[in-house]
Amino acid sequence: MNSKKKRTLANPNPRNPMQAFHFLRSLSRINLSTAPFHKRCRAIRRAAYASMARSASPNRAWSHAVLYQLHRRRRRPVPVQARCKTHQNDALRRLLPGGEAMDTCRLLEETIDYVQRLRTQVKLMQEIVDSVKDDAVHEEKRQKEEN
Amino acid sequence: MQPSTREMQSMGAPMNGMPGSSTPSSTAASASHISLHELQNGNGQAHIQNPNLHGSSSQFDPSAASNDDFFDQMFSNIPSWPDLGKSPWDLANSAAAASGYDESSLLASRLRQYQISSGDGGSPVGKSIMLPLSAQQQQQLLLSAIGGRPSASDPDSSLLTPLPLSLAAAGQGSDSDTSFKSPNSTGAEGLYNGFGSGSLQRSANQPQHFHQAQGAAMPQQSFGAVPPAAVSTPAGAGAPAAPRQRVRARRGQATDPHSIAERLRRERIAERMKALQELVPNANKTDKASMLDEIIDYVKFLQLQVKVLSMSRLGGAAAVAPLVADISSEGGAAVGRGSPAAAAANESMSATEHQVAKLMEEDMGSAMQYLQGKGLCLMPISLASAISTASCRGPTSSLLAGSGACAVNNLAALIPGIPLGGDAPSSPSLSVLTVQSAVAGGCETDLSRSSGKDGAASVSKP
Repeated sequence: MNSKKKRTLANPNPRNPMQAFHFLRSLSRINLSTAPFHKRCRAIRRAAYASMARSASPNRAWSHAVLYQLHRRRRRPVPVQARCKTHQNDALRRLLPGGEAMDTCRLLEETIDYVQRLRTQVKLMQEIVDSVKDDAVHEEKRQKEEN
Repeated sequence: MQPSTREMQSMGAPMNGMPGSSTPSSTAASASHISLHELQNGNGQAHIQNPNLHGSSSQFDPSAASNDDFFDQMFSNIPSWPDLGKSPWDLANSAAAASGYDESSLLASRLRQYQISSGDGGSPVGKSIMLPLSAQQQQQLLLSAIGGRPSASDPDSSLLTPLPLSLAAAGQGSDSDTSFKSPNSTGAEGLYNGFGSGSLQRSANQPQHFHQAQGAAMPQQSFGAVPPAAVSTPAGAGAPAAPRQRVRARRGQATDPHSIAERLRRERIAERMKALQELVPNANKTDKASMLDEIIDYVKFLQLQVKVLSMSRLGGAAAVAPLVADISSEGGAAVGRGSPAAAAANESMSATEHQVAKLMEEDMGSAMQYLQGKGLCLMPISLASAISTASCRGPTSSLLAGSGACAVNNLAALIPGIPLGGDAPSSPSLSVLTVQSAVAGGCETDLSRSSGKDGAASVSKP
């Protein structure tokens, strides 16, 4: 329990509960479904991004892009900004959902937000996996003891 | 302005006294434009100006004669004060079009604009006035002024006055063209004494800037990118004491709306980069390019982690133990059930918990669905505590503490077999205690963390 407790999310942010809430809800829904494995993989990944996007502030462009993409299941053609600061910015633009149609300043803003949410999402999922693993291990132990 | 172009392209390779043909080629000009852009974007290394200075000053002698007509054109094109607000490009272009020095003057004007914006903060008008003057032109102007072009009455002359003085002063310090400088300096001083404009003080304070201003031909848009690094001003070649007010922008400030906007933009980008630096690990890079690389790698890494976790998560989820949490209180805002009173939460939770326990004994799926219908979801205690500690504020945490602890307690009592985050399942009270303490401690920690910026705070177990 100590290790688990210590593994706290480093970002004291009120939006974490919302993110966790959305993700867990969709996760449980996915787990209850009986889809094949890889489809569930993808569904979980989509749920992760959807939870990230839903808990984002409404003025974040990337969240809209993510939700749009998830909804339509395709990449929307975005106009590439004419001004290109450096080629590195282009790589960042490609990484960020909806990052093609932003200027550099806004791109960096969105990146900050995106990175924060990605981090919390990763930590969230990590926590779940670890706790589930521990639960499974304990479950096995208990069953072994019973048997 | 071949040498200046080459120098621009070399991005700082010092090319002192590079002799070049006085006739600039269009390709050179375009190349210089490109290099200017590169300068603006990447490096903003202002020491390029130094070689420019030398090169331009060395060019003066052979081109002296043909510059007079150009000089006249320049002066004719330079409008009165109010008109100076128009784009310096137009000024430079119009002035340069007629002469064979169009590219060079453009370059020079751009460079000077660039330098001037980083120089003294002066009137916006003055800055635009200085634009069309290149180092060569200034030399010519100075010479012609020395040669008897007294335009003291012209307000523009006051601008040019500091120019020659600074040029002279700076020129004395530089290596180039000492012979040329000596007449200029005397003429400049004479002019300076004659006019004594206020801007002269500024120029005297920062002759360096002016040197750079003259020699460097940076595009006007690159104002924001002008680094505060010292740019050596072009040597010697005292500017002609043309009646033009030289207003040099202070270093780091701009006197033109375009450059101000550019500067603001650059500052904002720098802020964001700093914020990103804190977020991303291995952020000890000072270079913006490498920082961007780090950011890109980190984003890719996080996305990959999400993907991997989603795959592994499935394996664990299939055999998942019940997840316990009170989402309503976690949701924060409109918490119907999550009353601050633990007793109320107790009562409201116990019924649900009983129901859930019953359902769980039958089938996990139905239990989960029941909970979901109620707006709850299950999660391990550790996860709940982690989330609450990470994100709690005062009221939310208390809610979670009350309901979460009660839920855990009851459920643990009902289903002792549930592994509680690694703890021994046989002691539900202990787990409850730990959860409560964890939550409480976490909240306190969180509060202290938010106040003290302690990012790595961990919950301590009593």
